Amino acid sequence: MKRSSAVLIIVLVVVLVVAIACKRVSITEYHIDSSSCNGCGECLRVCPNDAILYNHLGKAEIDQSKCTQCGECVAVCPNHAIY
Amino acid sequence: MSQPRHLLILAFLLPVLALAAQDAFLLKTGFSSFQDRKKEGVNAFNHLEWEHCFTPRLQLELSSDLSSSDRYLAPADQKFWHNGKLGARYSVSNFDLAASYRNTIYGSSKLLGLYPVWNNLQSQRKEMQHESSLAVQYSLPALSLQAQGRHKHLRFTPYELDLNTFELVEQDPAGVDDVYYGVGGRFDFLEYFSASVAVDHKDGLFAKEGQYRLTDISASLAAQYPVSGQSHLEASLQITNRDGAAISDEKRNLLQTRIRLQQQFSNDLRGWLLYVNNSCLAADARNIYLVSNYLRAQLQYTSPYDASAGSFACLGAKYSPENKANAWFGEVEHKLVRGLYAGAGFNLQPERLNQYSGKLSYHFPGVNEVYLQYGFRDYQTGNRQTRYLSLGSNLYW
Repeated sequence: MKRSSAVLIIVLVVVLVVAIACKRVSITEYHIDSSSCNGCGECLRVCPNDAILYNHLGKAEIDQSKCTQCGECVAVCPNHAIY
Repeated sequence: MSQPRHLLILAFLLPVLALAAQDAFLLKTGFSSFQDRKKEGVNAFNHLEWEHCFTPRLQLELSSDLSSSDRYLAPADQKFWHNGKLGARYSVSNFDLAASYRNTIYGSSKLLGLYPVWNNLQSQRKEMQHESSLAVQYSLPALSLQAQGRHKHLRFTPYELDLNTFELVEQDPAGVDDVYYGVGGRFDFLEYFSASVAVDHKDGLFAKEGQYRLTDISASLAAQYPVSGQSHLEASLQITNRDGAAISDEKRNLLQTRIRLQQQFSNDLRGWLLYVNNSCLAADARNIYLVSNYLRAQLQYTSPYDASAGSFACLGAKYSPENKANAWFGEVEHKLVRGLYAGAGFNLQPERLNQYSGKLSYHFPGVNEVYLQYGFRDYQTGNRQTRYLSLGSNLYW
């Protein structure tokens, strides 16, 4: 089993290296680290486009169809969960 | 504020207060006075949380989050905000059902631009938002299936530009609806591995042309491996095909790679390291583009000399250069005498804001506290600084 895990980790690292080396997309896209989000709702308050909502686990989630990448939510998150 | 709004807030607050004595209950309340170059003002907040287990199978949750603020948070900040939640969870053997309703009330809200595509209306003033959610999960030893649906309704007052006077004219209240639903399944295999698939669909019902429609089909492979008794490793790779007008061709397939290592260094010191890479495989499958990297490290120390575990220090860093979301942050709190604690914190976001704070608090039985806090915020955009002094309490029953 340890060998299987090692293989998986190596695969992931290879994917990462490839991904880091590639070109940047032309448009910014924000995501939420759900393991750091505590569902406080500060990001919902400041979003001007109604693009953040709670999922069924009580964590904030970005609706990419509405997000205009203004980045206001990044600064107000007390847990630094938005990147 | 209108009477129906007061009634809605009371509807959330009263049951919480009435039932508080029976169960786990959390109350955070306080106010702060702030000052910056342009104005002075007061913020007040009140957060109530209550949980009750009727039976081992049925759990009810109520929360009320009320805040009133003069402070500048962001261009879209609302000066009065109340978010109430009523949730229920029912579990029986291998079946789980969770339902919730959230209500958000906006008061003295600012005029905001309406969505990019919305008739000829120029701006809106948010009034109220309703959110309902339903999720079910059926679990077998190696297989779990889940389905979820959400509905969101935002009420607002639209404003239209009068071309004769060049003034915004208030229109009749209107509303927009968004629906989100999806199904998924997870299969566990070889002790540490799992494979998942999911289909999620979202539609903005107010836009007939489907500008806010989005369908995600995702597949992922994950591993959770206890490296030793003190460390735990998680890794996952997920690919999501996103079909919607808002998603450009170059971002059609999102590849998310995630690695998280958690380490218990000693009884008092623990930490974790997280790395997430978001990349995209273009619609033509020829090019891979980088969306963002997210590297985060965090350490937490709890002093063994404080039996109530109130003395602690935490330090963290976040590196996400593509989205200008880098940060350094830390907090320390130390017992001086008896229940008296002194603390300090910093939050440095070089591209956005730097924040420093000092805190004096008195802890009484359990983890209850009253505190006095002084803080300074230095916004990196707009050459603006804010100082604030807060008095508050955190109480638990």
